[in-house]
Amino acid sequence: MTTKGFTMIPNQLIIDEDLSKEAKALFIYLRYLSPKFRVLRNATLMTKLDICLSTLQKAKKELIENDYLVIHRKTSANKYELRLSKKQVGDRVLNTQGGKYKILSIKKNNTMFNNTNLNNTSSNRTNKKGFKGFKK
Amino acid sequence: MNEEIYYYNNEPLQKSYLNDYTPLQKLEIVKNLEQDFDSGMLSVEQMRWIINGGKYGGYTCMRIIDKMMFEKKWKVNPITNDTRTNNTIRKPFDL
Repeated sequence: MTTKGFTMIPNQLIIDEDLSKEAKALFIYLRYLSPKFRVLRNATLMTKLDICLSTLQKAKKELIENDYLVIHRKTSANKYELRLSKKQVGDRVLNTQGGKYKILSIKKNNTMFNNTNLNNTSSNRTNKKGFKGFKK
Repeated sequence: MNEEIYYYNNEPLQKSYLNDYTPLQKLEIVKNLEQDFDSGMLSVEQMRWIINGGKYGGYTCMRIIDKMMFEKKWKVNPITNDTRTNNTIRKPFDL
């Protein structure tokens, strides 16, 4: 096994909050393999990823539920097919940075075109005490 | 050459001239192809399968290949294995 080369991983997987680290590791390991060699036994995956059977099954279940993986049952091994989930992934890291990303969210009360605000201001002017109109 | 099947809704893509996709599904296929390519999940083998097999989304794949070749990120067309492109860049005199 050579240590040369690289593997392309979708950013969506890295950002995805619903996946555990084992599930991500499984996806990365399967992505590293050529599509023809994605026919593997559980024992192989367990040794390569250094996890127990229950963790492996949990990781597989997570990937399947989130539409990242399709498994075809074969006689002595499973064939794995990788997909890219089409769901919109929430980014936990970006959303926590309040100042940077809340600039674009305009408050309703501050908008110029908010009718309720305009109505309130006009009504406030008329209801002011002491204002009796302009002298003629 | 190696070819790999591309799936839409867990089924292989249908032919471009003989399919039962609705317009919305067709749009979704095109978007899926573009999104998959952007995230590195659309392999050259899959594009080869789509284009050579006359599957729906072949034109999108050709556009992707042309874009990469015009930007000089790819030197060789992976379908033909030479420097030919599917379309040419429009110039002012072409209009």
